[in-house]
This record gives sequence, C-alpha cells and structure tokens, in this order.
Amino acid sequence: MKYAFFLGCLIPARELNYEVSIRKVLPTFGVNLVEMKDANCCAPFSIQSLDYASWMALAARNLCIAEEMGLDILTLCNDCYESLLMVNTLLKEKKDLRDKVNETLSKVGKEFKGKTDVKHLVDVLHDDVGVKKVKNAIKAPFDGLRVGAQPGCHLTKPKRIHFEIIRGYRALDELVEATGAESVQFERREMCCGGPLRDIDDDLARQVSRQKLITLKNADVQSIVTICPFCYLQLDTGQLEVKRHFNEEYNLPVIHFIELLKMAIGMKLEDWEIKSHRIPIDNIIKGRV
Amino acid sequence: MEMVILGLRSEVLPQKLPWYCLSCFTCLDRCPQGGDVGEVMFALRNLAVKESNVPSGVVAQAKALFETGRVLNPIRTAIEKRESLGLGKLDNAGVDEVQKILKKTELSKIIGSKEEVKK
Repeated sequence: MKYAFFLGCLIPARELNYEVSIRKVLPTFGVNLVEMKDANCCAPFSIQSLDYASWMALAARNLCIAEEMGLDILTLCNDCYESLLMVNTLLKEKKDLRDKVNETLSKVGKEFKGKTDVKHLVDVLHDDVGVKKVKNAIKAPFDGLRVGAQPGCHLTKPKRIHFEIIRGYRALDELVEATGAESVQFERREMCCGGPLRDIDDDLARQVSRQKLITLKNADVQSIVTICPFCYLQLDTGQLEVKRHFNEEYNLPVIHFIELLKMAIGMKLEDWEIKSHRIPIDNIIKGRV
Repeated sequence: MEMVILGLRSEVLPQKLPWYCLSCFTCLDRCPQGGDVGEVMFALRNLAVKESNVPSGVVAQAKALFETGRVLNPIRTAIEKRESLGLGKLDNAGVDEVQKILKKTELSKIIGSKEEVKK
C-alpha cells in the first residue's frame, strides 16, 4: 500500500510526536509513505473564508502533485482532509470550476485531471489495512481503558463528500477497540473542539472546548483520543487555557490514536514524546515505559 | 442568515458574526431542506473580506502562506528537534508556485491592503 504522504503545516510545526509515531507505525502494517515534494499548505477553511478561488487552486495544486505521483493521498489532519477531499470532489463533478482552476494552475504548469483520491488516516487503517490486521498486531492491549475518541468535524462532515456520519464514527470506534480500549460514547460527540476559533476569538474557542471537556468528563473517560492535530492541540494545550480561565480542572490526558496503537503493538514512547503532552499521560503509559 | 435575507448588509458584513462559524458543517447535514448553510457562511466571509473585515489572525495565516507556502511554520527548536530525530528537512512547500497562484487569484492584493490598513 503506497500513498502520497501529506504532512500539512501544524504537525511538523507543533506535533512531532504525531509525525514520529506515524512514520514508525504505519510501515509495520505495510503502508509505504511517499513524500510529496514541494506540497503547499492544504489551504484550510481560513483561506477558503478569505477567497474561494485561492482555496481551490492551492488545494488543487497538491492534488496535481499526487496525480503526477500516480498515488492516492494520505492525510493525518481533518482540516487537510476536508479541504483536499472537498476540492477533489467539486473539481471532479463540476467542469466549469475545473476549467477555472486549471486556468490558474496553468500559470505554474499544472493541470487537475481528477486521478487521485484523498484518504484520512482512519480510512487507510480501517479500510485498506483492515481492522483484523490491526487487531492481530496487538501485543500489549489497553484492556479496560475507557477512552473518548474525538472524531473531529471533518472525518465525517459534510456528508456530501462522505458516505454517512455513522460510518466514520464506527470506523474510529472499531480501531480504538482493536487496541483493547473501550470507545466510550459521549454526548454531542459531533461537536467541534473549538480549534477553528483560535486566532479569531480565543475566548469563544475556550468556551467551545470547555463544553467538549464537560461532555467527556461526564462520560467518565480516562483519556481522550484524537485523530486530528487541531483537536489534539485544542484539547491538550487548550485544556490548560480552560483551567486558567474558568478555574476548572479536568485532568483528561489527550493522546493521538496512532500513539495509542504504537504502544499497543509493543513499541514504546520515548521520554520527549511523553513530555510533549501538556496534560500528563501517566495513567495511559503506566507499566509501559 | 436571517439578517442577510432581510438585506441588512451593513449590519452583517462589518461584524465578527460571519467569522464565528466553525465550518463544522453540522448545519449542512442537519438541514431537512438540504440548505448549504456552511457554503453561505463562506460566501459571506468572502464578501466581508472585500469590505476589509478580516480577523488579524486570518490575515497572519494568509501572509505566512504567501511567504512560506505554509500557514504555520516550525520555530527554531522544532527544526532542531526535527533534525535530531532524523525526520528530514522540510522542503520549501512550492512557495514560488504558491506566490504565482495567489498573484493570479489576487489574494496577494487582499493581504497587502490589509497590511496597509494595519499600519
């Protein structure tokens, strides 16, 4: 299984623990990550908000790079996923948009042909690798660990570019449960982490995150599992901000799904990886270091 | 949305309101009429931008994108950490082509004019 590996901006800037685990774990499942040379930022919703035409052209440039490689794209971030998948879908469907974008892309010698597909880490692990293979690789299961798996917004929404919301949630739950942990359902699971409001209204962003933390705490989870670097940032670092502003302590450790899987297949997290979590993850790594 | 329907353009576009949407698309999936509320919000923000209503954080992201090809870049310690882990150097994110594209779509002008406003 070979993919054009789309790393995005946030992960290399802030979450090297995510990147390291991806690069170590995925090859053990036969997933070959091929670097996308000179890929630009996916062009997230902030750029879409500024100017639709710029958003489409920049996302399409990345799609063209994958087309030239002859590979489907693997993304690790819900925002990259939404942006690339949405533009890929729109440009495949609508000739007038495709023509317009291709006119812009001709300035840089590129043309969107519609020959690649965009996949999220969850799609690749669940559909291409398969839950059975993941299950078979588990050597140190997290038996009895109650986790709240935060799907984030764009793993499943909007449904015009996905099959159905429930499919994405089920895929995530099955992967989490393959590690032996229990994927606990919590209220308003579909709700956003608040991340997109960072840089726009930090106060409101914190209020949205707080709601998420409350529903997770009410569900009595021992840990939050994320599959999006924005959710991770907002719930981990953001939890400290919530603590400061609301004087409330949730103490919910946040861990990337791939880190959970890494430990479950018998690999260890290094000291710096453990320390990169702002909310200590001691209760998850107990007996594993 | 109701304000837009009522034609209250001047009440909506200069406000923070259009920027409070999380783009989570829950509205789009919930609407029994299949109304694409999220898309309308994007269109509203595109219009707000034309009236110089852009949060400074969004301008900063666009500027970084224009200058480096990425909306967010690693600080020095992250670059050093990356090297020490043997993760390989980040490439230049096709910044030359990004600039050509953004000049063509004229986003570069929007970023530029906002910069002047700030000064």
